[in-house]
Amino acid sequence: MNNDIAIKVDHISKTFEIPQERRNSIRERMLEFRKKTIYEKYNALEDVSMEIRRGEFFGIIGRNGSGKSTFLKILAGIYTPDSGSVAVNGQISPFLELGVGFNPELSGKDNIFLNGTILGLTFKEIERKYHKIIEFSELERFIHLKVKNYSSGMQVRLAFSVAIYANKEILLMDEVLAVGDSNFQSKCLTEFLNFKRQNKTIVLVTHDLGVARKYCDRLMLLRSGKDVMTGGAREVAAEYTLQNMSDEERRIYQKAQQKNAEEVVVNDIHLEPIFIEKNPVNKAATIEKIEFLDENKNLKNIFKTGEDLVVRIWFSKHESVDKLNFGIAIYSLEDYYIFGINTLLDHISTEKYLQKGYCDVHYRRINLGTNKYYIRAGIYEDQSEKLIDYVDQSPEYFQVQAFNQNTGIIHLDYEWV
Amino acid sequence: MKNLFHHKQLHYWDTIWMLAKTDLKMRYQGSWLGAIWVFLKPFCLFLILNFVFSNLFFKHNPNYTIRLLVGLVLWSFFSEATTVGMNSLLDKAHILKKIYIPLWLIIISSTVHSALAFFFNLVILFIFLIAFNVFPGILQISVFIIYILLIYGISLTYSFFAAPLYVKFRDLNQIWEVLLSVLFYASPIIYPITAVPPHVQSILYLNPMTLLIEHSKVALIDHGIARFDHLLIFIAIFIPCFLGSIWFLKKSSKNLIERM
Repeated sequence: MNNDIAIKVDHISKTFEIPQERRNSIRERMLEFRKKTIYEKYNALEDVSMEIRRGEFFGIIGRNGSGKSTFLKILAGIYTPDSGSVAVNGQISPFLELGVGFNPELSGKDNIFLNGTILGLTFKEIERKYHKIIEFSELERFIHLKVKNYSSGMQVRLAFSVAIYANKEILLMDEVLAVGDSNFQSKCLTEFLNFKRQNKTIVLVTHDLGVARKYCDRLMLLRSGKDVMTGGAREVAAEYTLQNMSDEERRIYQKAQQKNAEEVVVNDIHLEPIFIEKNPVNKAATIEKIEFLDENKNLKNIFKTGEDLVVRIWFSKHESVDKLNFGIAIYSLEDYYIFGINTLLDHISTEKYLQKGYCDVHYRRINLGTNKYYIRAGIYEDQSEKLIDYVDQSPEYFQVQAFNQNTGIIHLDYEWV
Repeated sequence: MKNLFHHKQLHYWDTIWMLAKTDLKMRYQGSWLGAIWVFLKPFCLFLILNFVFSNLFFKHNPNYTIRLLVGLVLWSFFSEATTVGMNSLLDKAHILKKIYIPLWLIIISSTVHSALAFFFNLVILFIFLIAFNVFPGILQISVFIIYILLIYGISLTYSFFAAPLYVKFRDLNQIWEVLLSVLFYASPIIYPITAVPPHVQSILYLNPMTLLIEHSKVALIDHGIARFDHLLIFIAIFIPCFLGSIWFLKKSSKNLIERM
């Protein structure tokens, strides 16, 4: 095999047979032995081929059930493909989950040894690396404590520390970055980049397009077990977002079809409303939910740069108040404060909102970049700063997709001259 | 189809020992008497059986107590090892689903505990042998070691067949429990083999444990060497069975993990 290639996957397919009725016990088999068990075939992977070069940071993205994890498990040798072949050039560190074999009843120290051996280290190697592992995990004080008493973040830290010191040439990782606080996440990613510098190969399955775009050299997009697109990270990530967008809009469309036509016109499509959980405190007003709509007042969560966005705040008032003050702010998912408005400062009379039970803000031609955004909303007493009710982060976020591959959080009107 | 895989990158002995050590720690954690149960459990059974049978049925048998002990120690090794071996793959499903580990390695590591427990029981047995003044010679002990290895061998053979089957047929553990008690009474443990008529004896020899237990008693207590040709026939049957079990495990490992 060519020495530049770390992993070569040649036309692999994998089908799972899902019995429609599971017959695991003899009694069931005896009683129904004449009936043949009917298997439903589920094609987890269909004819996927690819090559990963040595030293490459390769990402696999796709929706749930698209075959990402099956693919990784085949690379790791856990599943055997039905057809096709996999060739791996170099030692593989197959941890599809951090802390495989972690035993909650054992101490952190014992778990380092257990996990380390499972990852292919010898006792001597672990003993040699033991202090470095603990140092990296920052868990010196807790190392003799049973792992069941660790917080989940601490468990991840311990597991990741063992994993990176397992030090193999090829790393397989499944969604490991989903857990852990942002500090530790960035520490992990720095470590990944170190690996890359050492010419090690990393295969990462992730949902986080941000991570995928930032770190991966190439991405493979799987959809229903098929390789839809393999290529540069940015192009594939953009394709994935667009696909998701059309899925989302199809979903909304189907929902709307189910309702009768009048309702659709009356712009009252309640698309899985997420109510904001609150303690029933007797307040003058409560924010009930926050919705994102397009300019025709249809529910929508994914927007293109330059489209109109309507944010609707549903609230209920408990006392006969005749004036309220509404404040709405847009934040990006990374908590950057983008834009905030306030009815008091804008000299808007809020009586009409009180009658309707909701207030709409129409943002025209949103100049936001590709990202996810959430809303922070508050209701204040009129003429004073006194807070009545407040939602720190809307349960749903909206997503913006730029047409081109510009980066950054806002979209400025520009021209190359 | 070829798979160029990392079969050589695990350090087998370290992994087996580490998994076994975890099993040991888990088994006795939080229990007061801890590892003493290794002795206590078979010893209590021994006391009960000894009380019942040596007084009621086999009053006139010389050395009944020590014969019973030999049989029980060997039997508890066999029943423990086969049971944990059969359960081992499902017990470790959480690991197998996440990382590649050869199945045989999981099965063997699960039997380490039984082997250790057996070793400690063996020490007690030898203390008894000294106390009863029937301590065997070197030749007898070396033949006895062959018997022990064969018991471990047939336990592994069973586990290699049963562990993957158990993933598919979850009734197997219940069936094996029943079979074990059948085999227990079909082995010359609580009674001497001479207590049954000859034609029944030859049926009993279909049970592999019968020959091994009986021959062990002859070696350790009567200080004789039981018929060597029988042992050779036994080994001649055992080896293809063992190889067959390895083949079976390898063959059934293909789509096993997704069924766990």
